Amino acid sequence: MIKKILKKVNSDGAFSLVKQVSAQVLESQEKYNSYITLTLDRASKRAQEIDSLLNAGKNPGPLAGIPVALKDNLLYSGEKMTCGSKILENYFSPYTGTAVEKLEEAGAIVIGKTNMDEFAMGSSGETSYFGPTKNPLHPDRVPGGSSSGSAAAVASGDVPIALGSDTGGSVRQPASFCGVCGLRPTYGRISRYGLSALASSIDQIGVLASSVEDTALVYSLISGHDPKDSTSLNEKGYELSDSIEEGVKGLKIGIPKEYMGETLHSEIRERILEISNKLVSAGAEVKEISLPSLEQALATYYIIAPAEISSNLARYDGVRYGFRAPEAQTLEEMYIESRTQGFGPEVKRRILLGTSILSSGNYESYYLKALKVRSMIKKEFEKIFSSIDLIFSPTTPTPPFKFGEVKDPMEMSMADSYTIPSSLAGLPAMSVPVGSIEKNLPVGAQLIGGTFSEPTIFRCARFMEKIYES
Amino acid sequence: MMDKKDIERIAHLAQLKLSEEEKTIFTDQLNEVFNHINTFGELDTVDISTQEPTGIDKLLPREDIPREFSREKIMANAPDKDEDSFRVKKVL
Repeated sequence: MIKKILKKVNSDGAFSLVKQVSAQVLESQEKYNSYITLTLDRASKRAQEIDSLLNAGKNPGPLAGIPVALKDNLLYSGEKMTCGSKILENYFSPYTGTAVEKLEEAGAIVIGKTNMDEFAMGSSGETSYFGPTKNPLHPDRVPGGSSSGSAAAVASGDVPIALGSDTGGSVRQPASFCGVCGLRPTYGRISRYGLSALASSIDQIGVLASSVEDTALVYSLISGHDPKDSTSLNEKGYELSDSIEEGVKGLKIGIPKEYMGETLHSEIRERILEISNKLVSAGAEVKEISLPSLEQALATYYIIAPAEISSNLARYDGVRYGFRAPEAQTLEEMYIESRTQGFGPEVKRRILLGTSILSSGNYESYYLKALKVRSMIKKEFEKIFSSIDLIFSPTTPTPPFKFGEVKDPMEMSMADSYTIPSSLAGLPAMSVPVGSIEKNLPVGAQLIGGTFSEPTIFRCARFMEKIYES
Repeated sequence: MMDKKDIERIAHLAQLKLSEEEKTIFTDQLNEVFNHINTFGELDTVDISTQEPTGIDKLLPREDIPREFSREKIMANAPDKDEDSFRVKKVL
């Protein structure tokens, strides 16, 4: 898609493209509520700058004039960053984060900040203070979450790429529900500088895109070491290569039997088995493997993530930024009322859970134990990747559900049950669209690899994408 | 099992005020989560480290060089201010 748009920019100019995109974005905002803030005037100015460079015979970069959207938990200087919450409704970004800066340096044009579950807590987009985003493929269904608007913006064709963030699956799960690609990189490969913190030891910025090729291109441009992020790996970023078209011959791929259990939708299971046969026909070796830690992984996640969330969200106290309850008379009242009125129910639930986990008596029996189980999970993955190249599974156990259909928070968390384990282990993983099932609902396949295995993931993802390309 | 008193204590620690209805809902929801996360209670983790070193060796400490920030931009987000200071309610 990016190649096609670049041609258009070269022939008609970036300004003309942004004009067209703006009209489409306004229309899709009406239909799907994909954005919280639109930056169309700034985008037009940027487009004029790009056109001037092009007209002067200069190269504005590999993404010259490409429209992009940013999840609204990423800082973009001068624009609002709400994190989908009332508490940050009027917060303006004082600077631009590294990943966004790199996109702009490559010539991309930001057209808006996308809707999201409040503070990235949710798997359906329904917890946003600014109203839910609709799934462009099925407007009566959820787009997934928490990067709901980023997935919808790509699925509706507003932009070929959008940035999201993935803690327990917040890039891959909405990508699967909206029929687009979603990459969560190896932990530490994309700088988190300028990403609002949820659970810092698990959070990663990820890429949502309309094709595997575009995902790889954008990833090559925004990955790499950043001294501004202390968890940024001291490694070169991903380098683009032709290996993406090499096919799957010789790859050893494992399907975890625990991901194919009874809770999996039968047609999704059939689709996974169908792809498995195609992988074998193309020369890959596919075998069943076991990931016994699946259940422990969920429990571990529901301890570590809320613990980090409650600590990270302690900063919202109404003093330096964000919502301040106007009627509060004392300092303590101001803290309590600002937080009580500023946070939604899902955020409060996780803050309470995390506070409880970190409180005396629970810290050792839950939090420290969870950190140890996390180490066990990492070791289990390491052992698996000593004998295979990739793990292949569905991204989600069900197709996108209808609004209001899943009310129980624990039931909602099942939507992330296949994406959480690799998140805890810091491993790269990607969801790639593999056609649709009953009622034309999209299906996503997930590929998980060892640390730095993104090139192999892209290779296999491209093979799968080609099978279902219409 | 967590009860209403526990949730009130936790809410106070988290600086949140809960309605009676919320206290009931959150108590039930947190108990449900605790039931679930208790599943690994029996796992033997005595000899396991809390910090698996994967990736850590690839981290590089940076030099501690102060960076300039626009005071104006930071203060622009203040709910209430007095020149370069955040104004809050009386502490005592």
